[in-house]
This record gives sequence, structure tokens and C-alpha cells, in this order.
Amino acid sequence: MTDKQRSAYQREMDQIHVPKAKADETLRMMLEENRRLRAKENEEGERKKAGRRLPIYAGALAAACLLLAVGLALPRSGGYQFDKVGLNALVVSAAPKGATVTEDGADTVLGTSAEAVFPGWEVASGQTQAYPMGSGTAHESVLTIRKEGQELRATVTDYEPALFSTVQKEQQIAGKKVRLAYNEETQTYAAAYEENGKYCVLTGRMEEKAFLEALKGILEKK
Amino acid sequence: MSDAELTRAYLDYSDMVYRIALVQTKSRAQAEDIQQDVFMALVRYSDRIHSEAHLKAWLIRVTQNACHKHYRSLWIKLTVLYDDTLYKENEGDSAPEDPGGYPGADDPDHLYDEVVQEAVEKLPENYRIVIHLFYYEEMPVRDIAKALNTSEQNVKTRLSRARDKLRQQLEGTIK
Repeated sequence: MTDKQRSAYQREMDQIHVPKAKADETLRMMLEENRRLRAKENEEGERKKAGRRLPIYAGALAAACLLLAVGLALPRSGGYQFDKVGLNALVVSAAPKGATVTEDGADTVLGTSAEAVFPGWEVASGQTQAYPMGSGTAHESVLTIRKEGQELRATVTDYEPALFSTVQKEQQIAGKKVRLAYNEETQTYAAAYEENGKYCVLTGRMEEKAFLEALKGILEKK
Repeated sequence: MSDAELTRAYLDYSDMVYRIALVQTKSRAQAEDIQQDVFMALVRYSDRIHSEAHLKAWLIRVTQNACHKHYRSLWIKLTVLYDDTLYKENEGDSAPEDPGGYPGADDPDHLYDEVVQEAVEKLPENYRIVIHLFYYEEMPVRDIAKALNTSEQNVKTRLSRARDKLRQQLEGTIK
């Protein structure tokens, strides 16, 4: 493009503006939505505060139920069957059809840089999607990360996925509570943990030792 | 983001988003809707924006995604063929204060501008966007690549091919 052509294009483009009526309407809608979201956040904050004030006997009741469940399970299985936990139960469901792609690419994971969440791992692909959940919106980033020939699939969500409430083997890794599982058929390991209010599920088809080392590195941010 | 920050973001970037959408969709009505959708998305995801540069890149990327979505719709593909509104106001559609008009339409310079505009408009979608970002938004290749989530080499290739096509189209017409 010559300078003259560039100037011509710029002059033509300079003439183009959002029609005032549409601009006013958009700005009004934006501010209304912003106020609605803030009111909702405040409401949720209040609800959380109220949740913390649950009567102590609710905790005692939960503990009693847990003891009963363990008592019933132990005689039959001899403990948790780590090797037999189905991976299907672990993998967070992908966003449903019709979910909105909010960020193509994978340079961010729900507002944080992917490098900060998976330091030292190269992000091969990924995207973040949004979809309605309950009265709010759920977000889910699905990434493929690679390092030194190893590949992991990472799913990061801002809502608590169902797998967090299923019984898994739990282990402390790098000071963090991690739920682990293995699928014999696909020879895939999976790990789930919570970090900074986000939920992360990592799956990898590799040796257990290699998977746990990779997981440890990610959790230790090395 | 606070109301003031959102207002500032809208005032600073609404025309940019609108122009990109218009360049890509070639339809004023679609471009208006896309700019609205993009800024409503900004309200919902504003906590992810961590800098001014990120805001601009994010807006361009989301606009681009919205335009892709627009193109994927068969219905739109069919109707765009008949959409005569490209870069022009519909008759009697403008409010008096609407700055979308074209003063001096009979001016030879303006006709020249239109020829260049039309040449850009005839480029394939993926060339139009890089030409627009490079020559109008004056963004460096690196920033364009980041905003479009592609490599710098890809942007350079697209720019080069787009320039070739423009040269062919404008040859003999514009000096």
C-alpha cells in the first residue's frame, strides 16, 4: 500500500463511528449489567458468610455419617481401590454444545496466565468456554500442555466439578490435598486439586512415577 | 471494572471494534450487534483484563471470534450477499447527530478514497483484518499476531499476499 492509498483508507475509515443511538444503548446496557453482576457478587458474599455460621452439630452429623460409610466399606474392599477408580468419573465434563468461546488460544487460564499455573510447561492448545450453570455462569479452560516429551490435559474450572465430591484416593503433594485416580483401560492417571479458588484436573498417559513427578513440579511451581 | 473504567473502555475502543466488525462482516447491522456483544462480554469478563494492551488485544480477539461466528452462519452467508449497506448509511437511517455520514461525497478525493476502500473490501476475510490492523490501527506485526492468536510469520505472509492482491486490483486505477 502506498502512502497515498494508506491515507485514503484511513480517511475512509475515520468516517465510520458507532451510530450514536446504538452507542448510547450499548453503554447503558453495559452499566446495567455491571451493576447487576456486582449486586449478585455481594449477594453471594453474604451467602458464603452465612454458610460459615452453620450450627456445629451439622459438622458432627457429617462426621458420624463418614464413619458409618467407612465402616461399611472397609470390610468388603479392604480400603479404597485406587487402581479401580474409573477415570470417566474424574474427567470434568466438557462445556456443553452452545457454550460461548470466551478466549480462543491458551495464553490465559480463567484470568491467570497459563505460565503461572503450569510453570515450565508449553501450552500446545486450549480454549476457555462459558456456559450457564444454575443462576450464574461457569467457565472452563481446557488445555494441552507439554514438557520434555510428556503431555498432560488440564481442565481448569471456576466451579467445583462433580469429581471433587466423589471418593478418590487422597494424597498430600507439595503440601496440597490432591485426589488421584487411574484408569486401567486407558492407562491414564488423573489428579484433581484446588488452587486459588479454581479447580484443576490433570490427566496424563504415562508411568505413575512420571505423572506424580510432573504433578509435584506443577504444584511446587517449578 | 468500575462503571467509569467501563465507560472509558467503551469510549476509547467502541469505534475500533465497530470498524473491525464492519471490515469483516461488511454489514452495518451486524457490526453494530457485534460491537454490542463484545462490550457486554467485556463487562462479564473484565476481571481477566490486566493491562491496557491486554484490553485492546482481548477486544480484537473477541471481535474476530464474533465475526467468525457470524461467517459460520449459513443464514448470514446468504443474507450478506443481499446486504447493500456496506460502509454506507441506509437512507433516512441516520440521526442528525450521527457522525456516520460521508461529507463531500462528490469530491474527487473522496471517490479516490472509496476506490481504495472497495479494493480492501474485496480482499479475503483473513487478509482484510491484517490490512486493517496494520494500516489503520497502525499496530506492529507482533501485536497483531498476539491479538489474532497466530504467529508473526503468518501475519507477515498474510500482509504480503494482501498487498499483492491490492496492487493488482489498484493497478491502472489509482496512481
